[in-house]
Amino acid sequence: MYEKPFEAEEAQNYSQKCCVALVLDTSSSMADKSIDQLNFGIQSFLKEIRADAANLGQILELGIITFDTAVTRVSEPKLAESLNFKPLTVNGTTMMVDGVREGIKMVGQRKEWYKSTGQPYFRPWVIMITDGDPDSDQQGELPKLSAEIRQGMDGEDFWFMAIGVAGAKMSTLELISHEKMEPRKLSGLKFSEFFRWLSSTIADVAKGQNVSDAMKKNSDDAWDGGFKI
Amino acid sequence: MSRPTIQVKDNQSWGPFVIKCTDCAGHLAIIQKNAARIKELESKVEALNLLLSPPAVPGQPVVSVDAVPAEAGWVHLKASVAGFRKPILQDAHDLVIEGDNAVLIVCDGAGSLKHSKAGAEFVVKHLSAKFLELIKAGEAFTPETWTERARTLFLEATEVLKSKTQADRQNFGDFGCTCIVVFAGPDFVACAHVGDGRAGYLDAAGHWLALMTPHKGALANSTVFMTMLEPASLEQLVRVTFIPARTRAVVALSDGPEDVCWLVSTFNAAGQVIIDPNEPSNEFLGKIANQLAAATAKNVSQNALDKLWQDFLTGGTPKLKAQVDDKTLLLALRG
Repeated sequence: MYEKPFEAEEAQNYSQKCCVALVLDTSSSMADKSIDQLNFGIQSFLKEIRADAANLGQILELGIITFDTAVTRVSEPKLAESLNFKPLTVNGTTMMVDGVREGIKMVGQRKEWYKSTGQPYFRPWVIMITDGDPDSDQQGELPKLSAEIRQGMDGEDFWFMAIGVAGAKMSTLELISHEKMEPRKLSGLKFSEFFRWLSSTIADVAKGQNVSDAMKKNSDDAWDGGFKI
Repeated sequence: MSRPTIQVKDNQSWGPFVIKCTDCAGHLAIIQKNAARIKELESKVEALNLLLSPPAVPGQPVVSVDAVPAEAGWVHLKASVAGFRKPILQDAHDLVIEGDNAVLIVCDGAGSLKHSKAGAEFVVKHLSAKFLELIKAGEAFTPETWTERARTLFLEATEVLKSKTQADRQNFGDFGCTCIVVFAGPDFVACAHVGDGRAGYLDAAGHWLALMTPHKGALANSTVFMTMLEPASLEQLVRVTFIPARTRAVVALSDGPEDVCWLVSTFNAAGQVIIDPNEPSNEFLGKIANQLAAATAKNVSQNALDKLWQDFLTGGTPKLKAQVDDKTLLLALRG
């Protein structure tokens, strides 16, 4: 008896898309509680998006990049329903600069794909979460990275947001961030609260609100420990 | 003095011709008039050619559809399944294959109407028998005869149903259903429909193209039904399409599974409003057609195919699994 089931990918009846590249620090210093909470936060985030009544599941495409001793594209941008997230593990050092550049590259490629297929899109986001400082051999690249981010933000190519977990060198995050979107410190290990804020903010942007208004509206002390560590 | 020149087409070749009798305004006017007429005719030919060979659907890669051996004839997938947590199935379908011809019939009974399931089943059965008769009688079709014949058959189905319900003292309006007929003959593919759903065919370039535009009302899910047909409304309610080309594959479906296999909701070019581009998904339909071709090569029985297809429509993708509307999808591939 022939039993091979039929299979095919669903046609994409697109809502206007918003690509978010999560650029995550998986260096050794993120071991134990930090990585566990980050994994839990991402899983909760995906669950929330999938269940979102306002169609966020059809809007937000999430890509995941990790950086430690190497930079890895863990997941290409996908809708939450198609993203099979496997918990991240930690390893080695902090190639932050390369990681952020990979994030910028990822959203750039996704934008090109949107353009080539005639799909409208919201300005994508690159969100970097770290608890440290770049490896010493990457420090010299920070001014260049800062200029690249500035150019991208000014040219409305993407939003860049840096989130510092306890231990992060905030002065580095300040150096690479644009004044329109200053780095934020995560209060404790409240990744779930941060991702909840992120999904609400993107949902509001998708409804037509501008980013700064959406960020203000959703501002949440539960995760946002402000700027200074 | 420079002489005026004019571009005209002289049988097979282009000018320019130098007008020697420049003093003769009359001759020049005639030539210009003829040139304008030629341009007008050429633009009509271009429009007809565009109709016969539409441009490739932008943004959709072609998924090459594997060949089915000629001796297999038409192979097909067919199923109707009830929507998620829906107690009864109100869709009905049939597929008539006779020689080089395939006719796909899909009816979707209106969810809110008491006897819409019976209406859908009646219309399918009636039209199925009539189209089989036509094929056996060897009737040939042109765009004109197809329009006439399809509208007559649709009206006849409605009138027979009306007589039956009146004899049974039932409310005819409760039997409302949509109807789509796709007829792939030796050298044409034609469609007639009342209401919503989708239908398409595979063109020579490997693109799946729509054969119909669904009737959609201002309110969500509102459409027109077979029970609304009257001689005066036939032209308005029975929409017809006739493509004078041999096709390798045809597809017809109720609106239940449409957002899985069709592009039905995208933003317009300005990114401001959502439009229905009504484009079959090359990727979805191409992949399914290729799986059908592969199953055919392994001599899988029709019963086994029907069961697998029913399972797919029930929960083969997240959207299909969650769809609360009934789902019918017929696909036929020519060997």
